[in-house]
Amino acid sequence: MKEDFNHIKKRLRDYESPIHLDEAWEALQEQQQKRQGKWKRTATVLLLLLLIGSCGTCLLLGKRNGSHMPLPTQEVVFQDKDVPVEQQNSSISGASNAHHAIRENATLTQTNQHTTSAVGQSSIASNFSDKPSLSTYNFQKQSSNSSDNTQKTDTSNKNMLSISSPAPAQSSVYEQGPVSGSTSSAVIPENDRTDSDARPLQEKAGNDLTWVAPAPAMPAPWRMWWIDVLPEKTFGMAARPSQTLLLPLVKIDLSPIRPARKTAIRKTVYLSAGALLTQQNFKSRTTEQAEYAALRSRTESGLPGLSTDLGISLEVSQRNYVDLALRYDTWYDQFVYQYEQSKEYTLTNVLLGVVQYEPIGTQVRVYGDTVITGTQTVKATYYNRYAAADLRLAFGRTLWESHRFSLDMTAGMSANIYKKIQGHIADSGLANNVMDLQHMPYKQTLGLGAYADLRLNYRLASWLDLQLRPSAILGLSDALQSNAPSSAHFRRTSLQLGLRTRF
Amino acid sequence: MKVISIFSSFREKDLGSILAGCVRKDAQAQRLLFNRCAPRTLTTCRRYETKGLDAKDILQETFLTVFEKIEQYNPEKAAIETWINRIAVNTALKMLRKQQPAWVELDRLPDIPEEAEPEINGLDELTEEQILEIIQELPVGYRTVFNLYVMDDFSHADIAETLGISVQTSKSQFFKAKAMLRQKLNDQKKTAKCMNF
Repeated sequence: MKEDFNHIKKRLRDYESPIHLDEAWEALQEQQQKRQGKWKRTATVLLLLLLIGSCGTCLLLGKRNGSHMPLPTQEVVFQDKDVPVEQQNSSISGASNAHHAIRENATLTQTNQHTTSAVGQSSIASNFSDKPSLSTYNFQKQSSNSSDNTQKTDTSNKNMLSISSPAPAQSSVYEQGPVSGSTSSAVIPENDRTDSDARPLQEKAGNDLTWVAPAPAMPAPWRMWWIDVLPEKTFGMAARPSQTLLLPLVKIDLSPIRPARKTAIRKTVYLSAGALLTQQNFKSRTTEQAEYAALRSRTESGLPGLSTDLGISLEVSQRNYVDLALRYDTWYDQFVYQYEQSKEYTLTNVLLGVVQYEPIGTQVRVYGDTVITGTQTVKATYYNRYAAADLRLAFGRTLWESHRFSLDMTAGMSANIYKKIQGHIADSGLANNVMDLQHMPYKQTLGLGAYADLRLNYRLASWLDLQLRPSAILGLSDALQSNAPSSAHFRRTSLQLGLRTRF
Repeated sequence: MKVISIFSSFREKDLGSILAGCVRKDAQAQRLLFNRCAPRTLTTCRRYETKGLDAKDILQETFLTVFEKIEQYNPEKAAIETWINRIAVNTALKMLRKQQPAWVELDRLPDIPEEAEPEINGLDELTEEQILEIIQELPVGYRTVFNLYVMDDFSHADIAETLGISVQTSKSQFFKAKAMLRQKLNDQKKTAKCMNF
């Protein structure tokens, strides 16, 4: 059988096909040079990307830390209509001394309930301010036995939520009966936010994430675009000043590193989805938050979620490709935190003293109201849903390839272009027990991160692959506002199953 | 003048010197090796050429690999032409696999009326270019099996392993390739007769 062709085999083996040697050699040399210089170019481009990304992030964060994003400051001032402020202040000491007063027929009423109903939404913030949280409201945990907490009016730190003397009419002395008509009013000044320094939206750049093929005449190997991401409405934070997150996107002209071959560059589109595990690594910036941050980091080591990837790979050589993808992750957490909260109680109808009228020889017992500070254990449960979209630029290489299977590895950078945190806190310390997290000004950051994954492909058809993909994203920048009491870095690992199509 | 003299001195040198120069990544030595082996290697590449895969691309990749791995060449095991030829075959297979693995669907190729052991006559009368053309006209799957089995000395077991098909499929594809080859030869003979008339 085989021997029938021996003669042809010999003839073809010795046959020299006509070829323009000079031309072929030049093409070969050109290709060889490109291959040699390719790694240098790749490293340079990566460094440039990293540099530009870092500069962009620094610029953004710098602007954010300046006057651009003033933190909300709320002052809740309780005033008694009938008593001057000085008198109220002086009465506080009296009130605190009165803790030791004889308690006769004392009834406890929670002043917080009054204030909650009086000031509405703002009082929710004031209640919430007593416990640590992720928000940029700086919530300081009040010490358990601080009876003098009511005197604290810390106005030096604008981040602190200050409560001044929430003591309704302690100094009023009445005979035989509780105070009536003691009204509290809340004065909540406007936040000193200004929109004047908010950066205007760059509509020209728009939200166009399309990778446009570079014009062939352009000599530069890369160009830069800035892309607006509008956090304001998207993130459901209408109260915040308008701001623009600028995404530095480097467009790389691949033509210089493309092999000079006649065959077209192969493009591979893939879509994959799968399970996600997220680890949140919290870091505390204040001592008050240290315990909380440590506990939360320990607890939230594996938050479940879902991950979706849509990307395109452009082959730059036989085994190497550039990978551009959009990744959307969503994950959930439920975190329980217990803490001690100071609580103010009004004791009504308390015997404050006995007045002795010497000439007559009669005694008059003086009764009145007083406020004492106690503590209570509050259990707060956080229910959060996070969503993040990342734009990923990575370089990939086919490590191994067989008839049906192939194994690829990609590594590169990931830029977070969108983040949303939704949820609520079930808090026994709150009046209505639930707080919507929409009031929490989480930072919608443009976080940079490193990205790596492995892709095991199984060919179902000539144009379709089944893809199994373990991947990891390590957030390099803070997920929360830089001047918040605590910050978080996210580490996301996922295992995805998807489809890959070639064209 | 100095360059010309060096170049001419290389030309006169034997293959050992050329290979030693290639190991040192000497461009002139590489050029000499290329000039010496490229035409024959191109013939091999042309056998595996498809619509989307140019023979010159295979040749280019082959010589890039050759220059990259020249240290691994052992003159005691095989001649340099044989070594380069094997690299060319492997490169072509790899590129074919990346492009469109046509041999996956070998069994879906049109059936050819099977006859008992068809004999091929008349191939000797054709020129090498004509033979190459006829081979190139075969479907990719048939051609790959035919090339590997007949021209590149692969066994059916090797082909099965390389292409991820069964040994039986490889055998049947070779049989079908032969049948198609014979059919094409007959067609060509008929055409030649018509032309003579």
